[in-house]
Amino acid sequence: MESKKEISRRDKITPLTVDPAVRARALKNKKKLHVRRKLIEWGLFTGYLTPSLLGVILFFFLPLLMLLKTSFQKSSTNTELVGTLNYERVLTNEAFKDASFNTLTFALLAVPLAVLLALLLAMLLNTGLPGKSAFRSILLNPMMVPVASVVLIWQVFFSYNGVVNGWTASLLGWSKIDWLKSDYAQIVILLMFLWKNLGYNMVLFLAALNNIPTEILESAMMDGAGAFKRFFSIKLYYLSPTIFFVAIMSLVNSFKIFREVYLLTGDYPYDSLYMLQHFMNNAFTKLDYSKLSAGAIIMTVVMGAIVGGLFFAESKLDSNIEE
Amino acid sequence: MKTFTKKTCSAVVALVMAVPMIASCGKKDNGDPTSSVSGRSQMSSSVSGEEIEEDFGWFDVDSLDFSDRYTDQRFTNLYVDVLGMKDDRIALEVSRSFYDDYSFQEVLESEEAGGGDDGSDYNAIDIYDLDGELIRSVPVEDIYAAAGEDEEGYHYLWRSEFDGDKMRFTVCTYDDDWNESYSNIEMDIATGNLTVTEEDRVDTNDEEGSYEGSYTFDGYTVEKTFYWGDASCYYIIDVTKPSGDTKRIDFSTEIPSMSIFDINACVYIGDGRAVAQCTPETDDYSAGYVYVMLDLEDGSCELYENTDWLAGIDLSTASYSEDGRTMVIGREGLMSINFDDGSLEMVVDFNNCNLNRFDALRYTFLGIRDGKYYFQGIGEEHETDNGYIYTENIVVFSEADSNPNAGKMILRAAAPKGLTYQEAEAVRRFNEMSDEAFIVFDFSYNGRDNQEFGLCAGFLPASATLDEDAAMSNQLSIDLMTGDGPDIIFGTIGFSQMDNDNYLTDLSSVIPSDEEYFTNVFDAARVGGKLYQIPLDCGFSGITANGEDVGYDQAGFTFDSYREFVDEVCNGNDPVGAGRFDFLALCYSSMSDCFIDDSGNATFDNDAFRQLADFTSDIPEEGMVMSCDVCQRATEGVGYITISTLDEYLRNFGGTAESTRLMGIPSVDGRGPIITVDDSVAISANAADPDICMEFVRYALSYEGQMIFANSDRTPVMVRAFEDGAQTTIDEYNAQVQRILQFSTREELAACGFFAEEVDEGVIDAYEGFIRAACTIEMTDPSVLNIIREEIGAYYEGQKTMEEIIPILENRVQTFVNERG
Repeated sequence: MESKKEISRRDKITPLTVDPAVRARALKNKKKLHVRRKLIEWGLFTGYLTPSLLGVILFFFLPLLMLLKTSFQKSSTNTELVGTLNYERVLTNEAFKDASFNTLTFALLAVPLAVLLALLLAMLLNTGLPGKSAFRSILLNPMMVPVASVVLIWQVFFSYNGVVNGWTASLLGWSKIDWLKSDYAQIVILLMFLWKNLGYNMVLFLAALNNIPTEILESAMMDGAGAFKRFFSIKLYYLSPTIFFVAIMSLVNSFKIFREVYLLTGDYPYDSLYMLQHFMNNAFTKLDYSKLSAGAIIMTVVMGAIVGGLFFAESKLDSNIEE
Repeated sequence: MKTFTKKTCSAVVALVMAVPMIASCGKKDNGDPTSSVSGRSQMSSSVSGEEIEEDFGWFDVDSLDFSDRYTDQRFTNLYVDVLGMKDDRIALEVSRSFYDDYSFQEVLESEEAGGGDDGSDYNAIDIYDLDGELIRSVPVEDIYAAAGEDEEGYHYLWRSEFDGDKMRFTVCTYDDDWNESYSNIEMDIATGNLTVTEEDRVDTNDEEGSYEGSYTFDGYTVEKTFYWGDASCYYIIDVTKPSGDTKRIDFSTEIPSMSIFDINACVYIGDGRAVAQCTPETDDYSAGYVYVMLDLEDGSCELYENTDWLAGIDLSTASYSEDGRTMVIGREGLMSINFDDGSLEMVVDFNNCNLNRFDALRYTFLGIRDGKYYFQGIGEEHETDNGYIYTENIVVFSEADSNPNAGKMILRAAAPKGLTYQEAEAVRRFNEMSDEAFIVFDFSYNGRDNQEFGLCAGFLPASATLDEDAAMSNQLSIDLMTGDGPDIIFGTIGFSQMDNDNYLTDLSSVIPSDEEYFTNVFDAARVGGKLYQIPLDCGFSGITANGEDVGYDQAGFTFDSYREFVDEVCNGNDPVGAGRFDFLALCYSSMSDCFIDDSGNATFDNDAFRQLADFTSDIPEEGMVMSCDVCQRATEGVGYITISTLDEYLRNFGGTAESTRLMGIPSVDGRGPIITVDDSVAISANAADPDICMEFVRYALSYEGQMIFANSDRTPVMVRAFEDGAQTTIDEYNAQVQRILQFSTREELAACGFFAEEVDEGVIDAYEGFIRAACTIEMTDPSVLNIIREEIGAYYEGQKTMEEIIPILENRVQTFVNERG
């Protein structure tokens, strides 16, 4: 037998009545109430989101659309449509091809190294090394150093009359190498990139490693799984979201290295350091907006494809993990 | 409550994010003074392509010229200076002199003689009414006498100005020891009586201060004395009020934070206040003017802040009008200036008349009478057979009932580097003859005048002008692309970034085919085979040398021949005198085609670059490019020089002109001099009516247009105009030589470095030969030059070999060339 309390509560939810019309009306009211509640929630949600959304639309999506429009026009203000002429200009431009190749090469070198080395460092620190927090701080410090200071340090080391040449000349008897104007230039920049970004990536991996359920690892160990097996079969799966995130962040950071390269070498660096951003920066200063727009759209498409591919791969892996 | 708090915080955060975005969307005020001018006429505010209506406003311009009143043939020299205007009276200072002995004797016997120690000149202050009738003539000697004739020494009339129904004069006297002192004299215009004011003689022998004269406004007399203090320099202003009371304003106590080096203008703004335009004392004198507001009643002063709206305004052209407004002449016209609300209001828009805008920039406002605006015009000067005449006229602007150019299309012209007389005159004449268009000027791309940098414009740091040039050229480029820019652009031939179809129109088809031009000049200006900016005149830079030393058929020097020339002819003194990198830039600019071929390949692995590097490595790093140390160089016959006209060439080299060769800068193949261009014209790719704009260009290239350049210190690009103008030039030059030889012998003049030799038509052929031998315009891409300078330093220091730097150079320059496409 239901208690009085339960019955009265039930009345409020679903009034006890045998009249179907009244029942229908009550249900309709309930639906209206539900919709209104949802609308209020949605309104609140949108209201708080609007400023940021507005900013993103105004300063990201709208400019992107304008950029797309400009890439098919004669210039940013001359609206005469020229079809794909600007894209042809850009894609047949030798400087753009060189810049794309250099940017891609650097990304293919830098991103895997940044992920791998950071992961190895994180795993090393996760073994309970003494002085771990000090070591972590040391690795994070390069992130806080201003760009200009980083550039200065690298110039001191790698200029023609720099420290490295001094060491190699005196210790090894090598002749001087103009590091930043030779085929070794990308290696120097790669070292700078790794030096600056390893710390941050390592911290992300450390956090991810600490979130792996220890009982699974213990049970695997008890089942006789070795370290390698445990890593590749268990840890890697749990680390995969972080790996993808670190990879994407490293990819973005590999583009940002333009800042340091620009400060080190100027508008027109040695061939192997000439990046896509150099091309676009120079087009901007020369007010060649049509070329700039086409180049930017091409770069956006390629980046979108890469990142989209990464997300797709990650989602596939995630579903495997869930299974 | 908790929810309410959360919502409130969220709203605040959202607002904080949104407000800066909205606030930063305001239009940037670039400090352009023309943007703060109100009351512009419709001619100025109309867009290109708009048709002129009858009600657009117009001023008829007339001239009051008094030179025809002074035709006494006994005097060979005549100077007529306009001193000022008050009520219906105009004051002129008239100086007449002669140096013909016969006339000297005759005038001594004449009753009119009265000037100077030897009676060789006669100066007077002549006062006329607006109808041109002489009211009174006061010999300047009488003024000197009133100042104390018994004083020995040298006198001159330092200042003359109207003050009500009187004129005030300041006489400067130097004694035997060259101590200067000043006396203030007052003249009643009605009676001509001269009296010395109460301040009889201002003692300027104060060791600490230096009296610099006075200003008179509306009954106030403001005297300024300059002092060098221990830590700074300052002025003390002594004010005498109309009531006779005096006040002293000491800048060192009133504005101790500011060290004032010079007061170059002071203008009355009414209500007992004046504004002094001052040059502050800074290390490089590039700080621009500062303005000090003087309260003449209280005897105080303060710095006037917020002076951005004054950029481009020179208060030395300002004056207080009788209607209570302070007037100043800017590029666009006569404006009233209000210091209380920081505004400028157009009174007479110079686009509402057709006059030479270069001359108009130099007008001085005199006053307003019966709705007419009176200006002191620029002086006209010319030499006669036996003398020299300089006269200033009065320019009168009268409002017309309707605009006589109604129906014509408005075209806008800009001269971002500054308008020249020649360009202004070409526009004026075109406006007169064209039935289709009227060209108005747009000065919004002109940045700040160099006047803003006060006395020391010569010491202006290059970075200041380079920054302004860069900002101005970027703005011009943007506006040209958007179609908001001018239709016609003058003088931008050095802005190579504009040489493409986005900004400018190819003018190759505009050059008339029925006349002969110095086509090498046009060819040098082509970019990618197109002619975006047409030179209207030319000059050249090069090294002068005696023809006997270098041969008459040699256009320029190779590096080796230049070394020999310096060693053997110049005794080791390099005539260019440039430092290593400057010489590198000079040589590169003359042979840049050797390093980037027509296919766009950068190649430095050639003799040209190796020789250039080897040559410049021997040059000291420090040096100074002396554009022309004329006296010394002319004596030796060698020097690095930039020449714009035949007249300049003759005056620099005199009778040696025909035997003097102008050689090109050292290069791998000994090519000719570099072409310099003072005036050029371009048409916007988005011009309102390109055909009419091209009509203007055709006019500027026509014989009539080119003769403007030929007759005004330029070398035209049309051969016929050049030859006709050159003939006139050598005739005038020979006449001047004859005049000078009346008083000195050739030997005496040679001892002073002046060669008084007559020349014949052979010098025209020689000069024309220089023009035809010149092959490149001084234009270089700074990006490539910067790359070369960055890399070649190691070679100069001996750290790298040529084989090491050449690949790097080619690599980097090729990237630049590839990027350009």
